[in-house]
Amino acid sequence: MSLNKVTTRQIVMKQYQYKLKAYYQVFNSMVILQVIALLFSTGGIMFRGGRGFGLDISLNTYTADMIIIFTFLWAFINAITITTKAYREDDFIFVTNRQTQHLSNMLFLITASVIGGVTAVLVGYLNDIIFFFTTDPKTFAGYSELITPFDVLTGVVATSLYVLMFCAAGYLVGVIIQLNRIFTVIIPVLIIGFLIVGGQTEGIPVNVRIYLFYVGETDVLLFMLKSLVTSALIFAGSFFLLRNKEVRV
Amino acid sequence: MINAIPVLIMILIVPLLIYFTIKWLSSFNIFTLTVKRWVFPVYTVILIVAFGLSFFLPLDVGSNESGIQRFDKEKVPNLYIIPQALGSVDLLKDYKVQEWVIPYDGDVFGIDTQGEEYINNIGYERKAEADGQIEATFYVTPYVIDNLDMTTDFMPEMQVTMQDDTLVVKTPTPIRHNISVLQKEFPIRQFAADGWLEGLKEEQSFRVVDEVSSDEAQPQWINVDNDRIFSTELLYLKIPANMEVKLDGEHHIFQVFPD
Repeated sequence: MSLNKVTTRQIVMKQYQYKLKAYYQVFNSMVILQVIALLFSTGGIMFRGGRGFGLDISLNTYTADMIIIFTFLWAFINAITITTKAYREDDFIFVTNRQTQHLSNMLFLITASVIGGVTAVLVGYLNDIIFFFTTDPKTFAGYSELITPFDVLTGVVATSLYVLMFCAAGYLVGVIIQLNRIFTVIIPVLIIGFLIVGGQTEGIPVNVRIYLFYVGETDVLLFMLKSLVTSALIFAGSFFLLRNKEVRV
Repeated sequence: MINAIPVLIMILIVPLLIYFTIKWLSSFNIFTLTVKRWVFPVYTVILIVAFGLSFFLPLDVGSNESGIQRFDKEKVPNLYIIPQALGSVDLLKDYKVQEWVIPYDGDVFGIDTQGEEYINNIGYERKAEADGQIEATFYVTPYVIDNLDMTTDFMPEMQVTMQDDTLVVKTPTPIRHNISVLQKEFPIRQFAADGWLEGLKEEQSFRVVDEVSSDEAQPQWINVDNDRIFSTELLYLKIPANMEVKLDGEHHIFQVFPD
């Protein structure tokens, strides 16, 4: 028996540091995903035409929204992955329990969210530069909106918070699957069913309400509050679901 | 309503695409441990360089070769209404495109338009003196999409000449104007763009449809609607005091009485 006394905080930090070093492939998969999204973004997302006196106008809009969405997808899948058995086993290199496992996973996912958020916004700049050099200069008008450095900073924070919500959702899904493997079938069915049925309800569809609740929020502080509370509730739910489960099953 | 089909397609196809891409890359055995360790750091460096480089490139509207400018006015005059409503075209000087001075000795003249475009908004006022000169001015308000002025400096020229007793207006062949713009990602636009998702919010809310809008209250002005303003045009003539315009059924020709 060891005479060393370690606190929960020390164990969590050790596990967290270990995960940052050991799970580098998580970030490699993010790179691959963002590069694929970058290729998809080259086609433009919106075309608008118009007719004025003596002019036949066509306006093509290009954005890196696809990269952001792919990063969300990466966050969701990545969070599910770290709840799988292979990853859980890594925690037994250290003294561990459910609490420290969860906390170190959450810290890792928060870090991954910040990295995902920052890189997703930065890839947007790479996308813009590629577009600048590959477009006819006579047709290239540049950014349609005036964007300040503060807007970019806000965007980075918002993207990181979106990514965190997707991480939390993915983590919850992973935890639910740990309870029973049947959920590997039920959850995708529920998600796809919700996307279809949620849009067909009378009045304002539920999925539109959810979309507007987060994406429609234009006050950055309120958005931060909404996304942080949502992530905290989902993480708390994950912790609650596994609190009575054996550490090693 | 948000269409779920593209989302579903993406959810199904993207993971498959990623899986097969990684499999394909793995077959070349390029993912050695060293390569794996360096992928993310190298990627980060590329992104930081791209971010820095973006400040040195003319990526903002107005700074590049395209000549497109941002439209900064909140409203534009409606040329179909302004001359009659205000009895003046003084407000329209910002929208002047071309002007002509045409000598003419007759007492009366007709108007004929030729070409692919059609001008149906022709106003005239009588000058105080009989100087034997018709002053014609052509005004166009810009066509605006996404707060970008797609018209100013891009208008093709037209010709106005007098042939016998007819003022002939030769309109230009429309030119194709292709423009590509960049938009920052939606988490940036969400907090920076004016009227973010306004259309969707209105569509989904139970608003009072019959509410009187400011457009109806002041029809001589066109407000920005869904980031788009349609252009209006006016051919305005100042004719000598002793001259008449022959009205016809083809054109909407109206007289303006300056105060």
